[in-house]
Amino acid sequence: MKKVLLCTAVLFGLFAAQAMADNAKEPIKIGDIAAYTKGALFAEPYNHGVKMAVDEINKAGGVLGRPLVVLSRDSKADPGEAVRIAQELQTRDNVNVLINADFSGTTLAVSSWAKQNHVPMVVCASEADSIIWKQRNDYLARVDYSGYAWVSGSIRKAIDLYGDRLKNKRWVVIAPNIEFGHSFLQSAKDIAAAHGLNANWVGEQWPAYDKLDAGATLVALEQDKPDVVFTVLWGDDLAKFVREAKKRDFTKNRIIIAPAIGLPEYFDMLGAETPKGWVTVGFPFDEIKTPSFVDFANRYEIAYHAPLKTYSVIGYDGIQAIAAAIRKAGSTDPEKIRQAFDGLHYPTPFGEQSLRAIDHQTTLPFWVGLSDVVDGKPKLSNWTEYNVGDNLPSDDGIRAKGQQSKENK
Amino acid sequence: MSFLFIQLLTGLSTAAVLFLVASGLSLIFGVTRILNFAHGSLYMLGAYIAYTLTQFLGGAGMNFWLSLLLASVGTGIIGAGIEMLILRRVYHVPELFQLLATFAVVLIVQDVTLHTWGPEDLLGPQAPGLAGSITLLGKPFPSYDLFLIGFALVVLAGLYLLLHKTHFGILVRAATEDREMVANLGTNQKWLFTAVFALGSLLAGLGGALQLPRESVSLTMDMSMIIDAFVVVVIGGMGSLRGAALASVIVGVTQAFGILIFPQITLVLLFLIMAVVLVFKPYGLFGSVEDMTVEKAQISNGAMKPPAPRLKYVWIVAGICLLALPWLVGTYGLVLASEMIILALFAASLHFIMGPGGLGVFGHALYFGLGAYAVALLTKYFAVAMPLALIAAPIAAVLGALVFGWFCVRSQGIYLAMLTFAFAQMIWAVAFQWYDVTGGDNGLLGIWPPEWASNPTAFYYFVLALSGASIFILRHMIFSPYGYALRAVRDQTKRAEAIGLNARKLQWMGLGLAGAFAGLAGGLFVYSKGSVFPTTLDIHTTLDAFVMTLIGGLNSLSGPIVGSVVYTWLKSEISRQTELWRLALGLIILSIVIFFPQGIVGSFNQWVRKRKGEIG
Repeated sequence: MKKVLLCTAVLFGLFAAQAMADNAKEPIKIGDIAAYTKGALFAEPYNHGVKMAVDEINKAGGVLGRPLVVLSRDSKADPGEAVRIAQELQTRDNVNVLINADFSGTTLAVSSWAKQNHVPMVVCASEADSIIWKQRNDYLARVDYSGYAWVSGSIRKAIDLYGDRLKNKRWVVIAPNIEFGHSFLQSAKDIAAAHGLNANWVGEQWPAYDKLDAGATLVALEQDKPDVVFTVLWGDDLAKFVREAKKRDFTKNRIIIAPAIGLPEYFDMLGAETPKGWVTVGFPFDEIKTPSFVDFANRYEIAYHAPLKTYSVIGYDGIQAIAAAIRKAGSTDPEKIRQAFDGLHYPTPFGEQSLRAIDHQTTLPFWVGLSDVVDGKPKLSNWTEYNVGDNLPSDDGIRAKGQQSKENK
Repeated sequence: MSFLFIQLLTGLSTAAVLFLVASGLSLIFGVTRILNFAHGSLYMLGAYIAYTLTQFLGGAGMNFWLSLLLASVGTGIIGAGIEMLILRRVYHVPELFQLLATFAVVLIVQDVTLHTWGPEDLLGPQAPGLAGSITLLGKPFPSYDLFLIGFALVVLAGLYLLLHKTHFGILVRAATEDREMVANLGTNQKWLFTAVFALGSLLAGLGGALQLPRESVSLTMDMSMIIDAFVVVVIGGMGSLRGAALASVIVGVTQAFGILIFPQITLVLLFLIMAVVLVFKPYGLFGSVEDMTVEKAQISNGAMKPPAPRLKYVWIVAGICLLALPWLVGTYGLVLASEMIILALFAASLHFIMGPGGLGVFGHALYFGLGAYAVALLTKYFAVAMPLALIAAPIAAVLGALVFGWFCVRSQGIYLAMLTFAFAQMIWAVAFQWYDVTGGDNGLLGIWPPEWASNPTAFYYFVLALSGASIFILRHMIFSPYGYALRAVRDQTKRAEAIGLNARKLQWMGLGLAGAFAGLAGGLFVYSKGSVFPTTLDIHTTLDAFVMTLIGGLNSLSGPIVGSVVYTWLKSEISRQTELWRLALGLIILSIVIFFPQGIVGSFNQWVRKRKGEIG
């Protein structure tokens, strides 16, 4: 009888040990939702960055002894579809964390869902700031840039360049009628006011995204007799705008502030037709010489034989942030990961970065300069390096922005 | 004032490209009676092929124009291929199935294009010699735009001569007026159809290729163009060349001036014009009632009998399975099942108006979306609780259905489809552009069911109870005196009116009823996702309902239910298994349209009856 009991106990023990070992090796699942097939300028570079980080981390032994696995799904830039995919990833594939590179509206929808269902997520491509402020979600961290910081850097650069020429001017805006556009314009108004520019906002055009009627819109804007044009168009709308603006002499003697067009993702499409002298945020990656970045660029080159782009770095950072958060939390428990996001330190090609405790926003360096064409290729010239951390509102300002939304409810 | 002149020219240059695409669409419709959804895809293909050719041949000098020419001819050949391979097999099916078949082509072309050219936007070269601008009344105006206006006029003249001075043109016009007579007179219809389709495709390809110097080539070109082209063709009158020309000008110029005057509602304006024209001229500016005398679409045929009593047991077993589902499947299964049930209600409401109601509506997303937005707006701005919001959803939808339906039931056939489509697009445009209230593209977020219904099992039962009861009511309505009257109107309108039935009123009520249940489904849908977006109102939602109803089969009550289960499951599984989900879905829809036009349930019933020897 004893023998039987002993055998059972031993078998039981073996099974238990086996189960624990399995658990230890069981991969950590990361659900990736990104706009792979629509307006996908950032999606492919992002995906390369994600894969590269996962490969490197797994080669080095994984996280908590467990390998990382990424399940990639195409959101089609459709918020409803993205939420459905998030539901599926959570309830069917049991993912531990989400990583996301998408249009701001889609990211907001996934964030709202993730908040309700307590799923940690890391955002890699939505610069609209409502994600971290107005519609804040504690389970979310953003390793991407902040639109507010980009606009702040762009306006500071414009002030450096033009000085008093920027004061008491007529400003117009042309931006897509999506979260991205509205959020950038709000930041621009706030920042221009904070610098005492006394900007007179005389005209606004909000074409539906991807449906810009460039010629007619420019004629309408021309009627407002602007001195400064603020635009955050991108993709096909940007191409149409650039071509029509040139033909219709729209940009002559005007200051154009266009954060976001100078990233290689958007720049490269314009090629030799890139307009010159627009103030924009860019990524002059062949001129950045810090050892850690050069090393990263070489590894990327070997892995993908493709030119490095902005979102390759951000995607890479995203996975590094997830790995660091799980290590810090010591488990994949959502609550612990949420807490780990506060002030998290994680490695990036630009050195160690951290997530701010107040809004889980990363502080990265970025570059603002003038758009230019050299040898038929677009280039960012005359650039200055800024840091996201130095270009965000004060903590009180952020709390006020969060407060606003509560009152609106 | 010179800027007004410049703006007019800008509008005309938009109209030029619109005309090229729309005239092809109109020609094809005139002869084949097929409303070709894939026309936008051909336009997109024209642009992509032209891009590749300019890269290959070099975009300078004559090679640029040669590329454009070759691209349009190439698109024409592709069009002919599509006609011979696919459309020839669907000329005999009801027109809404044809629409579905061409939509399947849209899906297939999207995937083929994506995998051939990649997801990134491509910027082609400028037109040699026309990259600059000329000065008109002291303002610069792009010379290429001026060229486009002139070119469109040349094409218009060319088409006019082709239609009026050549043998081919006479055949085309004859076929547009009476294609059976043309066939009886010994013309080989097959090749006439192919030739017209090729010509129309060539024009679409040309329109796409000519966009190269104006915008980048992207994967969204197809849908944005086809919707505009639909609007133009419907305003001008289907099958009318001068209608297409005039309507292009109206649309192009209104767009241009709309931006000056109402920059916020440019999209609404477009569909508003279409709706206004259709209300006053139900067949468009130059369309004629005769166009409608072609075989009235037999959407649904045969009398629908109450199911055999034995079938009751099937329903009881199904009911028990549904009740036991939480013990049979995991959380994901429940989430998916809830979605299937909500969509089944949506499809059942469409089935009610299309099957027994006999109205080929093509904008059912309108009621779904109205219900959804009613719930979301009430929750967001007035913090209304779920039960109350779910009562408001069908009310909002009914109101919409009654207002829009009043106009719709005066129309019929493809014009009815297009009028319902115009209303749906109009409300979509409002939701999309009214950023301050509806959140625009972002939608409204964070609308979750209260605590007691928030876990997946509770929500599943809640959805099951509400949708189940609603579907039961719909079923009951079909076999009520009202349902019989509705079907009488569908099958024999004149006779039904002769015995004192008010046809329009009956159909109007039918639309209201269908709208109410679609609205309820929309409201439930919001709670299942926690959010609402303009996509609930757009053409894809309409198409989803449409596909679910048709693949299930229109002649049976269980059709929409089976259809929604199969379609929802297929969609989620296919997009999980393969990147080529559009291609797969397109092929499935095509095979259903071609091989099982009765739908799954219809085909199954036929098979059963055949086995029993009831039919040969």
